Amino acid sequence: MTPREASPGGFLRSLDQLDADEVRALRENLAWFLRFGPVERLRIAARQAQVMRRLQRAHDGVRRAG
Amino acid sequence: MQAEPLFDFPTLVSELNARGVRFLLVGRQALVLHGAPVLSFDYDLWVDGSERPRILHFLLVEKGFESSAGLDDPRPLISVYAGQEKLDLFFHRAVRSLDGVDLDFEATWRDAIEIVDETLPGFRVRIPSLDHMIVLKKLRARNAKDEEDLKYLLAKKTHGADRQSD
Repeated sequence: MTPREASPGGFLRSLDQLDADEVRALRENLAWFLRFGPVERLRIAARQAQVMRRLQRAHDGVRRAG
Repeated sequence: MQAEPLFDFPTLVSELNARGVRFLLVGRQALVLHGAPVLSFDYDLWVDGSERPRILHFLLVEKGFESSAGLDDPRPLISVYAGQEKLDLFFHRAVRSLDGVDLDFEATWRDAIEIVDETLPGFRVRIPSLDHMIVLKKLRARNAKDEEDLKYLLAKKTHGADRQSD
């Protein structure tokens, strides 16, 4: 499964598919995110996208090598 | 692994403001500023059509970003690349959602929310109101991301800004 397949709705799966622990983690994550101001939120989102791109490239590389 | 070229969107926003470019941040990055911790791989800017020469000159000539479009390209959507980062510039005067709601740039601009952050000098950006965000989410057949975004927007509209983190 690729990182994008694992997270079709962003870095979260469909909200309907989350179990209680995941919902709690989501709420904590959201509360954490909302502590930041606009500029930091945009930078956090950019870093998350950068990480996802690297994971995707690494996954593609492994698949090609395999 | 080679580091990706340095690109800081908030700084770019400040630079656009310094040049007086009138634009709205739309798409998922606007959703981020509405408080949703979602992932986005590009930046969508809805730009006042009269600003086209100015923003293209700034991005393509002054910043040296890449695009298949030239300065005189008349298309309503132009993609610009800053290394790995992609900026989609929309120059439409107005749009229509799949359910037939018309929205023009001026109305969206007028009702937009201005976000200011004093931690970065010159940073202020306008994002569409919740109602207009919802219309903009309905411009195309929705994928999984769009569905989640719409759920968030409708929940925020119903319950208010901070209810999501309760």
